[in-house]
Amino acid sequence: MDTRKNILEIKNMHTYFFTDNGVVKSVDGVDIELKEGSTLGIVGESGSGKSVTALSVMGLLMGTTGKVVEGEILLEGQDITKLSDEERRKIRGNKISMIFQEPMTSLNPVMKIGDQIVEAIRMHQDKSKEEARAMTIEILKKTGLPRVERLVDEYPFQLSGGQRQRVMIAMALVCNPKILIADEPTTALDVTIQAQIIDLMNHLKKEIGTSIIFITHDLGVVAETCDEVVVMYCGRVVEKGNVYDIFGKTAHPYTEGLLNSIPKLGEHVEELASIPGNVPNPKYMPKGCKFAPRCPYATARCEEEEPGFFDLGNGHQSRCWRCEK
Amino acid sequence: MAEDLLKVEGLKQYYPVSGGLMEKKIFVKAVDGVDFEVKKGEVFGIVGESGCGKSTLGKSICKLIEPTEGKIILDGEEIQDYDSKQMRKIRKKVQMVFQDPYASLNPRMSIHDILAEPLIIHGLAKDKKEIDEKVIRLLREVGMDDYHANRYPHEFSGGQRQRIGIARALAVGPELIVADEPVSALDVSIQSQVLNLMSKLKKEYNFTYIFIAHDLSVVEHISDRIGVMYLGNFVEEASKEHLYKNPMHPYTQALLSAVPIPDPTVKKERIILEGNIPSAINPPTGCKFHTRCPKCMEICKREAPKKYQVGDDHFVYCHLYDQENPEVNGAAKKIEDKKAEAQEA
Amino acid sequence: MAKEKVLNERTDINTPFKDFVRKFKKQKTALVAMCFIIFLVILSFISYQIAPYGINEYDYMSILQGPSAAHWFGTDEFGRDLFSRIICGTRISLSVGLFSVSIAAICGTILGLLGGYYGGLLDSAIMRVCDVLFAFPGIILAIAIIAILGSGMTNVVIAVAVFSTPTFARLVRSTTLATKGNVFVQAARNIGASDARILFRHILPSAIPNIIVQYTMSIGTSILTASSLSFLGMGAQPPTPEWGLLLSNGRTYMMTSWHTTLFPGLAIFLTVLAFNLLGDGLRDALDPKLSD
Repeated sequence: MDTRKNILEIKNMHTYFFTDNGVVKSVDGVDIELKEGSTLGIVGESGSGKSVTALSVMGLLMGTTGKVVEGEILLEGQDITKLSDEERRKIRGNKISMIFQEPMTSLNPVMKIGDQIVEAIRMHQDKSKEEARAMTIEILKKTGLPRVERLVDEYPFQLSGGQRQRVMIAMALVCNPKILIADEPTTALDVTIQAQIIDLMNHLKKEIGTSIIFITHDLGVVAETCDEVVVMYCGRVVEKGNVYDIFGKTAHPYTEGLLNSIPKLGEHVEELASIPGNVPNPKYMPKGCKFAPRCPYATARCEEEEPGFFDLGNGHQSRCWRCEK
Repeated sequence: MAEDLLKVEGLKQYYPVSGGLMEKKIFVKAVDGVDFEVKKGEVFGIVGESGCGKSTLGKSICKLIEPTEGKIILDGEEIQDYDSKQMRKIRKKVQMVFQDPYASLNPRMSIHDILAEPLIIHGLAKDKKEIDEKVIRLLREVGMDDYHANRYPHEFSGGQRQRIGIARALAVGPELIVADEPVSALDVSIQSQVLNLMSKLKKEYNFTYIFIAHDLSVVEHISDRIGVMYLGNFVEEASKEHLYKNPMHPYTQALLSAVPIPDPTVKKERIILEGNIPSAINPPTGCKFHTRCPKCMEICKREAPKKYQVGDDHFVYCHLYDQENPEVNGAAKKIEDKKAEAQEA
Repeated sequence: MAKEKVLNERTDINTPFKDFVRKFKKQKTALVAMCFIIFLVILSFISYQIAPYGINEYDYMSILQGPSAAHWFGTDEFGRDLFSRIICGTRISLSVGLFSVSIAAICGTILGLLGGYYGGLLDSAIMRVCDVLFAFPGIILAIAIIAILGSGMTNVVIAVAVFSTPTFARLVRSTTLATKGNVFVQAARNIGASDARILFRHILPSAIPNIIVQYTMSIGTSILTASSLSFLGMGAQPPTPEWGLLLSNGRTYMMTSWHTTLFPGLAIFLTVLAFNLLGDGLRDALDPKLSD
């Protein structure tokens, strides 16, 4: 059993969006723990609530109709949902940083790259411009970018997608955050560039000691980078555990379906296993287990009653009636 | 051996990027001289990273853009110079499935109207009743329900929209379907549904597919033969077994090794390529891959490699396999050895 | 918390039109404006029947009288009942607006579609002509056209149509350019659709929301322009009860009889405002960017 303490605990969090067409329960009762110095993967398809979970933790829901309506987010034991906007802002970028999927749009196009990072530093730390610039150059060098001294005075459009993502990572890590949330950081990148970025993140994690939450739909990336995995479906966590249990002793039919539906290199099958049907429209959410309509093992009970978590040992939990002992 | 359904010879597709009156025209060389053929009934996969020209290639084959140079021979007919009127007949033979299922369906048309359109254009149905019947049949064919016909695209998920996109391509009864990244915008669980649907349809109707994607595992799953593209050219062309077991081109090798494996117990050695893909406006001289190639030699910087046959139905564009080049004799020898080994085994 | 509705996926069809109605219903100001416009339209049909006095009924016993129970809006310098004249003027103003803008919308849409879709020389030619027309202040252009064609309501309609056309052409051209690049247009070409089909089945429908908004807004502007022309004596001729003309007549007596200018002015103001508000509401309801 892993004895490292939890740096971040999300307890029974509900994030709802209040739209003209009614309430969309994007995250509906999620419990997630992140251990110090580890990498946690949140896996799910579109609409699973994985990105909304990240935005809720970051406190970046303002400006949308979304709101954390219930639950706690404990950062080193302190509930940050109770904090004022100003206090949340101080945490953001300093203790928790985030990198986004789209490296093209996350940087300000009319500001020099160096200035953007300097600004991020000076927002949280009492540093002179020169000191901040020195820090910027140092962190950019760590990300393996070429000709850093010239690059700090360039604009984002002069960089490629992979280079921009490196700049984003540098910006996120410059204040030595406790937690780095990476929302699909490699999805927009090519495989060979993705390999570079994953390599970089693994390397920096060791060097800086940041805990990482890695949000992705790519199970291959999860297997290569994460220690712990949380699988989300329709705003709920359906299975969690360490990476070996999730891939080796898969307990939830959804996780099983996901794993089976990816084509594997060098394995030639006539037909891929697949999960039938579609992710339910939030307007027509099923009553019992949210996965029941697509589940090959679904029984009458699954359609009526939503299962809770069942413990499978070693922190491996699954929200499926089949795991009930 | 099945006959060639499509033959592409020396196809080039350049886009002008600055068209000022006084300036010299600069071109993006999206596709820069490509030759290949696709046999009847096979699935030819084209794989490559963004900017390698694979989508452009797909579009020029369908003549959605006018090719700059080269020949496109479909069923013995040279179609590269056909105008839109002449193409209308050809469209019944070649259809395209688009990448983005959100953008490829007109948001202001109901599913019925979208599927009826090709039937009306090509006069494939006599009257309204027959159109309705055929639309319903198409929907069922791709695993959708009859009642979906009256809906509008925005009510469907990505996977369902892609099914509709496929149904639209099916409507005219084509022989060749060019699928441009048909599953890359979809969720994993939906990806496999659509891939299975495409395989099922292929078996039923004996389609020929050109399957374009950036995801190597997806291409490998569905294709019989695969071409790997880099910066507007093919670098390797082989059956899927050969390509996976015995990748020859350094780029293919790196590409294969970069694909993450969904199994935490496997820790594999990666070839991590340095640097980024160069711009297609001003591609490197010689072999376009030489700037990132771990095995780059002097000749690679000067001369573009020719097509070398390295096995049954296995071609590679790389100087490493040029038997006559003294610089690479060692590598060439290795292939000889490998071939010999394979024969012994 | 909103109440949770149980919806049946099979029967719950959501068409773009339904969507529009749902969003438009939330635009309260626009709804009020629309009711007012409907009221004006009905009024324009029945005004001659319900008017308490004839529009040219002279009464020299009661000239320039202020509002009273007998003459709600007072009388003019010939003792004609202003209320009757104003409600009968509705028909003139609305039809000028409707005709001129309809002509402009049809011509502008066709020019914009062709220019945007085919590009090249045709596009350059159309756009240069539009630029030239844009370079004139609208009213001056209208005056120039009237000067050539002569005064009268038909010519006002033509003048207003000419100066509204470039707005539509430019608008439709820009949507055409944007839509032309869409994948669904490529998809239509892929199944063998002809240019005409692509233009009218795929590109035009995408432009229609913008056209509707512009149409509504332009009616307001053109009513204003038509009134201005009449005010300047270049449009409707006396004794037509055109609002701009009423205003122009009243101007002479403005110091002593305020009602002669207030009521015609108010009629123009409210009508133009109603069309603009309706246009704003339609824009919000039709704009895909604001959809949820």
